[in-house]
Amino acid sequence: MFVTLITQAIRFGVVFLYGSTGETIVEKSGHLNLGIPGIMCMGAIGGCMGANIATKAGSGAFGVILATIFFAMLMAGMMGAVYGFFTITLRCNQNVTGLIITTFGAGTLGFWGSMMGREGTTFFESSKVFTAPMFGEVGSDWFSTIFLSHGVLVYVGIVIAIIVAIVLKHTRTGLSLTAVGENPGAADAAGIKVIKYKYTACILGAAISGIGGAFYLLDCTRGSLEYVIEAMGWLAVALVIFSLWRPNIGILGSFIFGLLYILPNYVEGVGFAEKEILKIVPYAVTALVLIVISFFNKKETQPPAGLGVNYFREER
Amino acid sequence: MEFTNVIEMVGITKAFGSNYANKNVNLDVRKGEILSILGENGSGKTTLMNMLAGIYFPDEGKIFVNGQEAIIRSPLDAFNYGIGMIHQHFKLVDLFTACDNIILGEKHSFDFKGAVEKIKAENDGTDKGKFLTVLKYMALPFVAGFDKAKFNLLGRKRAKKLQAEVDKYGFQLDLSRKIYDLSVSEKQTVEIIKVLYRGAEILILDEPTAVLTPQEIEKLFDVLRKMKEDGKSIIIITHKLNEVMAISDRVAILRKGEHIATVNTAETTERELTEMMVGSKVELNINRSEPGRPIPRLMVEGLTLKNMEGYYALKDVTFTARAGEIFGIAGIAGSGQRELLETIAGLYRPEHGDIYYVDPDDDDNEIDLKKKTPAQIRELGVRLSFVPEDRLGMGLVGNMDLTDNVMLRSYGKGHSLFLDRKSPKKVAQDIVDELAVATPSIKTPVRRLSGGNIQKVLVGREIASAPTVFMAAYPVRGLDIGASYTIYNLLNAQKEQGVSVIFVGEDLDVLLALCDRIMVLCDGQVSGIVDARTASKEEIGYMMTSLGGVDKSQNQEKGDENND
Amino acid sequence: MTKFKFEPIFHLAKRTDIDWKKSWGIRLAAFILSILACAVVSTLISDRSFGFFFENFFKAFNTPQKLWNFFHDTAILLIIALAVTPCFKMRFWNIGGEGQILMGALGSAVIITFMGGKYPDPATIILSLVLSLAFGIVWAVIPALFKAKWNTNETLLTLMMNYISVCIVDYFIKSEASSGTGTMSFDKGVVGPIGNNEFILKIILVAIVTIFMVVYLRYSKHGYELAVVGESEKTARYIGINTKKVIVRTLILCGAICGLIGFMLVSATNHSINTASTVAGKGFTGVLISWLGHFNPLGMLLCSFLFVFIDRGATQVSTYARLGASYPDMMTGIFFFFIVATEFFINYKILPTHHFKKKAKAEEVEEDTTETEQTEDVLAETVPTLNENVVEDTNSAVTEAEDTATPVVENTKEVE
Repeated sequence: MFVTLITQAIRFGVVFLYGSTGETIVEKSGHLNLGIPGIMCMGAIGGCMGANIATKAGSGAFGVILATIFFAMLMAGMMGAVYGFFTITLRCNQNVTGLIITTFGAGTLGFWGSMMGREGTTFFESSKVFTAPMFGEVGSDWFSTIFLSHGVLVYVGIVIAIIVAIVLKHTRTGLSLTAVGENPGAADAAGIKVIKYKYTACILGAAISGIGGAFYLLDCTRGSLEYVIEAMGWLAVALVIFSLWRPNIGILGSFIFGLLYILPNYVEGVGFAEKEILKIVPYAVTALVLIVISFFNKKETQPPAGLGVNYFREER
Repeated sequence: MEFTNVIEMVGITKAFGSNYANKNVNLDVRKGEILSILGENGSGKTTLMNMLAGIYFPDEGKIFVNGQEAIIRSPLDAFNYGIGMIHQHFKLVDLFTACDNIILGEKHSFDFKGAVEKIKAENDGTDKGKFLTVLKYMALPFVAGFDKAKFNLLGRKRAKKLQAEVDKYGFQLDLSRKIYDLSVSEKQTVEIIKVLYRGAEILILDEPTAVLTPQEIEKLFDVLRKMKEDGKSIIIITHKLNEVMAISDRVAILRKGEHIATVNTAETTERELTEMMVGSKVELNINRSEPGRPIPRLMVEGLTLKNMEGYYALKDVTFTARAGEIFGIAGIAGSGQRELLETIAGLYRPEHGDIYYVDPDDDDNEIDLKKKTPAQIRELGVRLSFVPEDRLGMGLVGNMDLTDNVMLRSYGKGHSLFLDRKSPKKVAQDIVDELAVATPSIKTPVRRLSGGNIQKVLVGREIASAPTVFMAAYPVRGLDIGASYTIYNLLNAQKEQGVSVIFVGEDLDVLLALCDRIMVLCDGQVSGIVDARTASKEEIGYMMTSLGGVDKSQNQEKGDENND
Repeated sequence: MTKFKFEPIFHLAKRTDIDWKKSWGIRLAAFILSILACAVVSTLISDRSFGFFFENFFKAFNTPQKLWNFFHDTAILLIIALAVTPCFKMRFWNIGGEGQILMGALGSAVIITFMGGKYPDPATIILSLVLSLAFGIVWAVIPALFKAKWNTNETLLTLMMNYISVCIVDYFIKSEASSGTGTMSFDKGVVGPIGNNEFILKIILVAIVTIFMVVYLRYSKHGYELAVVGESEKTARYIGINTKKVIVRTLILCGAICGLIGFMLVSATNHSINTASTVAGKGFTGVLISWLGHFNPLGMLLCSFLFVFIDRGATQVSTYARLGASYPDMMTGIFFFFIVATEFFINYKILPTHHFKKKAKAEEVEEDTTETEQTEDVLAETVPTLNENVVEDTNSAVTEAEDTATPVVENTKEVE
């Protein structure tokens, strides 16, 4: 029971991890993308389509996974590009653009899902590739169950988070990206191509989040389209704050969020209604983190200084 | 003598909306010289240089670097041409260490040609050699990739490595400190190191001395001279004549966006430069009447203020401003002038000290203004007007129209829940008529007016409230001569009506010609109060730079903590 | 080094002086384009023809009942946008309208559950209104207090509070109605239709709130103060406005209106509460409407009108073509994309550079002569400095939004 709980927590946490890793990249460039839930929906569409195309074409597990990741990233990346175009080039308000993308993405997923339902297309078959343990059959001891029994995308997500954490902290690319988000004027004066960085961050961040959407539908729900991704997306946005804009903390945070998210289903002796109270915890904890960091007002833990402000070099 | 021009700017024009910031400017910079760009505020110096640095792109004209036409579209292009600019508002990321700021944006490219040459040279012609050569060629992309990745990694000891290089230049700075911990001059040092590190051959400094102490200025000039000896070309933007004379080889003078002349410093005088800068001879014909009945109006005693960073912005400031006189305040920028006025106006809460207002409406009773908010001060019936330094950011609301701006200070009168726009509308119309404010109508947002007109609206509003104390911080900054005189005349008119005028200025000539007494601030403390009719410019200048005009080294232990 | 041989062919300049007729013309064009785009997309994703979309689209407005529904939806959206507008004018990015409304709805639901049927209906209704207002206010004031005290990021905090409110309401529903559907319906102690028309009361209420808001924002001291706080906190300090007080006060107003909306939704419209459908994202849509209407009640009215037009039309199309419940969301998403994109053309001018400019120059000279009286001072250096200060101080995303608000504020004057 306990082992199952932990295992499932890791699995669900990875959905948040994908979303928050992507959103962290975007926010580091100074753009608050509230469209992440919508982008994850679009990623889910892309991923499911990719998985089915590859399965139908008769490719092996590796091909299916590659196609899924590729199409998920493509669809989500396209939405990221749209977000970037609106906020970077057209300099529209970021919150407004993000909310529109969420509306559009969630609507599209719902529409596409019902269309698939009418067509009778299911994804149970292709999802088997993702739910299958990556390391094959492993022992049933607790260690193997918790750490080795997951599908391939769980490990991919954690690896991506680690890579992003390293890039942000220990490379010039990360340094430049942080500078773009903190003070685009300074970054520009230092010869960094601010616009290029912002676009790359918006598209890449969205693409990574998109894998999360595909992962959720193909692994966590085993190919069922009836679940709502939007809520997962907002939790991913919350996780970015919780992790203080650091994907390595995000790995731990995603596990905690995953645990809190599924906990209500595993707690016995608690009423139907009380479980709803448990669901508050991730949001409440995030709100608390937000308040605490503003209370201590330490520069290193603040949101990127340029967050939400669009950059215009000739501003006067 | 032969000179090589590293930069030639030909026919540069840049307009913002319908205003020309630069109009057909021609300028050349020679190798290994220090060129001053001289001009009043608003003469287009910074805009011109921003076009070299890639911040703005000229509307018309051409730029040549080392004789070749250059198109500088971004700061990165500027770097590639060896041009580095140190902006007046430093472009540094607060959160990073000095070291990270310096290496930020550094580019690295793999030397393919060199690598190929090397492989060719190593080919000894034997079969084995040929085979190895082919292998090496195939490995080349990987080597390049590895090289790039290695460069991309931030070494843990990057600060130490860089520190050694920086120490060689003779800069004194710990590179592992965060920018937000550094003082202004240290930040400037970081900027200079950054530009040098990026291999700039042409350095542009935008008003580098405005925020520095005299000692720091001397140090900076030493650095600049050393760089000049290294063959670097330096452009320094300034409006301070003594600095121009001290440091530069040639001076280019801009006036209202147009290039007036470029002259050799050795062949000119301060007077000649001033004439070119302002267009006509500077005869400061400011009328100064004798003060009327100079009774005390505002008394400040032992005012001490700690700013947000926890440093003392004001230390034990004591003075009395009298009715019917203009009380000037001089000092290097950032010596506490702004904080002093804002504390009196009730924007800050002082740590110690008292502010007393002598109320002429109430039989000259003293009212304590200490720790009162602006609203409370108004409710006490104190007629205190304040023209802040930051016009659009503080004194006015840019997006509101004239009427709404005029009622900013008075809208709260009465107990009605609703606004009374009738009388402010009349006041706004009066201001427009009397001060000749150029505006399409009183419904125009003030942001769309020019600087001089914005200031007229602000000063007009403050005068309209019939003040007894009128405080103005840098009221003529950025204004042309005509608008400046309008302001001087307004201040004089106030003085003649018996108002106690407090005037913070930066131009010592103006202060000496306009004021009755001048208080000199130095590092948040009163350096002395002098009679403006007898004091000399040098005397005040000396007081600005050292407390009480005494050598600063004797006052070294006046540390912040000791004052507690 | 010299590979950049091309000069940029155009550059952008912020414009401050667009004609209001022109700006609304651009928006109207965008609206028409967005409908066309919706039709094209619909044709592509379904097996229906292009004409089918239009035929059915307008069927959404062909009976009085449908028209009433249309006006009612517009009114609800308008009042939501109105509720959050004062916050945005203050540059307090409250995207928590969703949660505040839901908490208001909860207030009514609580009273109706415990009092409905047991006490006289008027008492129940009045009490549920009071509790709705109270809940809405509490939920709005929490982020305001933290913002005022520690400058906590309000965008993210209100976002989190939205979801906390969803959980709280779900908790209430599940603990009181164990049907398991997640919906709680009421038949006693609710506001019934007036003379067989269940919409008129709410439309009147919204009209009153709209007029109140116009007056509050434009003619009251409070409205003036919050505009000053939004424009520049420094100015507010300079003239002695207590910024914290204004923030809290404005959020109380916002919370109260949100509470009222919650009451209207539960007690007068749906007669039920459900976390998925009671507010159903309208809180977020309201944010968009408020922003796209440039915080001007008239603009918001037009925007919500257009939005509901597309939404209801698309719903109709989806019913006939069996496209599913999510289809209208997709269409409104497209509509928003178009409208938001117009903001760019309204805020910025695209200016050709260099040789492209020669043509345009002749016109410019003419313009110059009319404005020469204004060219007294170029101020190339001081103005950017001031602007930077403004932006830094407000530290907010709405800088541009406010700029755009200028022409609209003027245009209200003209309309009024």
